[in-house]
Amino acid sequence: MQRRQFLGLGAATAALAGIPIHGYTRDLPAGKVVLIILEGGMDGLTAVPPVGDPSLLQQRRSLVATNPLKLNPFFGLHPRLSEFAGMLALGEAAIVHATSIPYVRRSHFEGQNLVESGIRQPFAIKTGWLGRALDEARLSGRALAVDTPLVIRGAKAYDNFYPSSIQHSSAPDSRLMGLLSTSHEAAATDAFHKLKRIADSGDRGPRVRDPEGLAFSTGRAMRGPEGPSVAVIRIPEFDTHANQGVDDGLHPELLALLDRVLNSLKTGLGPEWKNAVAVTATEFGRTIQENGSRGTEHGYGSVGLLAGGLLGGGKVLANWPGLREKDLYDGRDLQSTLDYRSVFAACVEAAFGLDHDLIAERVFMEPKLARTHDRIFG
Amino acid sequence: MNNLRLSPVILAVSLAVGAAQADTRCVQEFLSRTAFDPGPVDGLWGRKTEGALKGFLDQVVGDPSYRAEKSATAEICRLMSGPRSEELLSAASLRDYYVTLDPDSYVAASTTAFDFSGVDVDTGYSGICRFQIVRILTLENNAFDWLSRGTVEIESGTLKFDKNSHEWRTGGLSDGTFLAKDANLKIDRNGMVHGRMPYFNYVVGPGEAARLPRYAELSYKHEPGEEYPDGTSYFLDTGSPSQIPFFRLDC
Amino acid sequence: MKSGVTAADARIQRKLGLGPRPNDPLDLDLETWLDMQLDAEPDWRALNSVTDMSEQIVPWPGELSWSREERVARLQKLRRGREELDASNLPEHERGKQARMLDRQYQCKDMDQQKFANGCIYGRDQVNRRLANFWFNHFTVADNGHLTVNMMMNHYEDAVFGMLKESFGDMLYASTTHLAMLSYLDNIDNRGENSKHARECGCFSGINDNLGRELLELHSVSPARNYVEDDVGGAARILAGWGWTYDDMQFPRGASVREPYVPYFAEPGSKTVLGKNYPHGKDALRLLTDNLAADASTLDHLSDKLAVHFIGEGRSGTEVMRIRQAWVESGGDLRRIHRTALLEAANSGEKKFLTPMLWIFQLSRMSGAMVFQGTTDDVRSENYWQAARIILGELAHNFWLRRQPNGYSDLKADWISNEHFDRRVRYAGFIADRCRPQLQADEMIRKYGFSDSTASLVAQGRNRTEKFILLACSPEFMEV
Repeated sequence: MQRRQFLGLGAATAALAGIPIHGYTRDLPAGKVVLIILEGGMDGLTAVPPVGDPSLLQQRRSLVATNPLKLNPFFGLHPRLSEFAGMLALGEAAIVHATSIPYVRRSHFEGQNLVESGIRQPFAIKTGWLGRALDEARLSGRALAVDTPLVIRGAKAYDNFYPSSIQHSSAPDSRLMGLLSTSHEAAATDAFHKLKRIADSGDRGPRVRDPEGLAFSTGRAMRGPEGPSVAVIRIPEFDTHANQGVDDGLHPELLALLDRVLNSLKTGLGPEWKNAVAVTATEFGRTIQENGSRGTEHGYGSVGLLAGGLLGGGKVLANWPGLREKDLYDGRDLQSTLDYRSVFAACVEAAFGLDHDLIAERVFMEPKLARTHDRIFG
Repeated sequence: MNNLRLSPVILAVSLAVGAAQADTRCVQEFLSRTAFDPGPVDGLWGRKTEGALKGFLDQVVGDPSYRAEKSATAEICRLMSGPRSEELLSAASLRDYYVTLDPDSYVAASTTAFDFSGVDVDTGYSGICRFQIVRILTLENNAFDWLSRGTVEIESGTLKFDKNSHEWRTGGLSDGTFLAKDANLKIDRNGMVHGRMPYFNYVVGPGEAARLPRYAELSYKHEPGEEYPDGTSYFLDTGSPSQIPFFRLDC
Repeated sequence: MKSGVTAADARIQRKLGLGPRPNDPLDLDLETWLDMQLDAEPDWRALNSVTDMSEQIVPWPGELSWSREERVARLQKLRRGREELDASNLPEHERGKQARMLDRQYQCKDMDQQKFANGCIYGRDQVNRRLANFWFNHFTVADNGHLTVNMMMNHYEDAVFGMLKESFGDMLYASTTHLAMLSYLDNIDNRGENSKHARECGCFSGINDNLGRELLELHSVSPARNYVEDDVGGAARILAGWGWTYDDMQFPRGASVREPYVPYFAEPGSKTVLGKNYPHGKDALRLLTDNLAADASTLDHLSDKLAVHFIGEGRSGTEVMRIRQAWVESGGDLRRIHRTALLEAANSGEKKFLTPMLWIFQLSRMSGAMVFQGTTDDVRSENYWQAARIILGELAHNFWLRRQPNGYSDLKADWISNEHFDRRVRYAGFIADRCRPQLQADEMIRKYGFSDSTASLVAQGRNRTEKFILLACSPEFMEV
């Protein structure tokens, strides 16, 4: 009933930021970070089922794929993540399980805000963790979704990237954009100024905007030391309250889309893949048990997928909490045994070479944030 | 205490046992705060404790002089309670479940890789043909719309799209670079074309955003009622039954 | 309250409504105009065709408007047609073609978007429309499948537009029990664990708390109320049994399209939400929505939301308090609350950044251009790029798009970016070149009294199109 159509999934967006400033950032590693936001709450136990945990089948038999790829005796991988499996096999991917941002109230909007702001209090800050990381790495020069995601908002405003498609329209004219830029103030001035710059550059590069296309273009745009250091790709619709699907259907299709996005990103990055890390983020996991409509409700712990040449060897990292009733959070959700911001912090450390203590204190405002860099990237 | 008579030997043994148990407990206590679950913290050396300690030493400590043995617990306990304690605890907050997938079965294939081993490629053939990529709308009145068209140059049996031909037009990325660069097509001695190629399932108007191509294998379509009068038509196998694009060649 | 501003001039009409059309009077007394607007009946008018050289405005045709019942009947026909098609021996592509024809015949969503946009451009009830759009965004329903997307327009007309003169409690209940909402937030799948359904057929039953959660978080009290999971569960259990899917050809006993409550799926027993007990049965929901509507947190949340929408992000605490006061004094009467909020906005020096939808509606109205396709245009082929779904979709501000239930943001920062502005520049140029505006930029400046600084910015345009773009993207046009 009402199977969703994925061709119409046009709401994925991408944004780029952090182009190095000459003579300013020369000494730092030129790594690239791509944050892939899975909006709605990804079901980590479906994506990476702990097949070695005897409670898995007791708790959610109906939600485990028929033939998960066997990563090791304890963890499997949903078969629709086959490209990602290839990356794991080649040692350029990693999985962190039983993890979440420190947020347990199960609201999308608060949770999504925290995934991007990187702090503990929802809606308490107007900048995002990648934006602040760029500020610290002095990468917050000019830059390249229709919106500017909170996560890359830092001291400066950034451009974004989701090409318009308006039949019989003309690209903005440089002179007009200059006039508008000076007549506006603040962020609006910047936005018109960027349009002027784009018009001046004569850049009529590929304007592609399906999720894989965006990932490909994003990767291509990031190539080289002059390319932007961070990108954000947003994939919506993981909120599978009904008819989630097991082998096929809504959630598996979304995993397949994520798989293709990772692959397109790798193709787009080309030689830059070896200096890059792509990391997924979601606001929360989903309940361990199926609800009355073959879906799942908002939960807590989930899984994070990482891919890119910066990673050192395929692995699944976890402090596995177990799935027995007493192991669950609130008796219903996978427990989170790791603050997922530690994983973000490790990515920032690996890509920009910033000191962990500085990242913890200045980017995540959590001086005691655990350092996981060596475990993930070592 | 004065009345207590214990043989010195027995005393020494029980002290040693007590010390060993305390060291095991110390190790277990530390491990229980990490991702390496030693089982119950009871001071008893068992398989679970040994496995957890081995994992911890391998993955976190990485110094082969520490061994996961009961006799080494005193030394390891000193390590765990020493100056590196905090650092080790933090590093041990994750356990590595090594991935055992076989990399050889995951060699990244190019989007247009094709096995020509069963194809008798006509390396002596060269010529110029016209191509169209069309999408069938309905079979009744043979209605279709074309998505791309232009010229193909065949050199020694290999097809190359010539994007400089005057009638060149493609949908998707309208400069057609993908067709020119990515196609992997060869012609055999029977005049049949084989291989994989990109195709565009949209024509893009002025002002509109482009789309990336899809990739499809070419297969010759020869079924009653599904032939087309002019040229040779190849079914583009896209895996999607709702769209049936054809590659048509006129030589 | 006595207002300092006296005339409903162009700026006021833009701040409170969707902007004047070329022949609208600009000198009416503010409060007289406002009362006329607030009392107006829905005015469904539309353009005949964008290809018609003379602009013909016609009433929206009755045969392109569907009631709730008609919509469900069309969906049932669509479903039956698809089932027959699936069972047929037709080849795959022929089936695809016929399925598309069925869609065109029975889907309502494309025409609904045309009706919505045309109403916003040609309706003489611009203030109520602005208000209806505000509430339609508050009670977000969006595409998540056939049922929702084809019922949405009826949610707009019945549960939102039709409730503007009622109380907020009425609107909250009407919206919560509308099939579009029940389907969008998955309540059609919300079945009591101990329902008769669960007991009798041993079928899989369980609570789906999506609507229960958003009812609290988004539609009424907001997280500021500090409710807990049990409150969400209680609301979800009250909601169990509300909703029904059109795949069943018959209405389940006791349910109707207007009141789709199916006791068979309801959770028996009393429930607790925010410390209040609710009895078993259908009436519990109305008690719940009434209590939520009257909750102090709801008043705080929504008074502020209205203030942000009409006054701007710089609204003062005093302004919000006065809206809240009207809420308390009127017992949640929406007309009085709206009147207060709008007068506060008229008298405020604050500016509100126009979101893309508001911007293009105002630009279309004020220039008199024929931007959106009319009643006789083909939304899927001829001039399809002027279909409402395309234009509003391109502007990333279309109620019918797939999106999340928290609705579109009213904050300036969320709508400022090079990509957003790229679209505004392109559409301004497109309207100037291809949509035959009745008023050019210079004429709009004179007629609507734009400032000298805007006039001198526009004067730097080298032709009509450039001038039109400069006016449409000027600070004064984008923020009012």
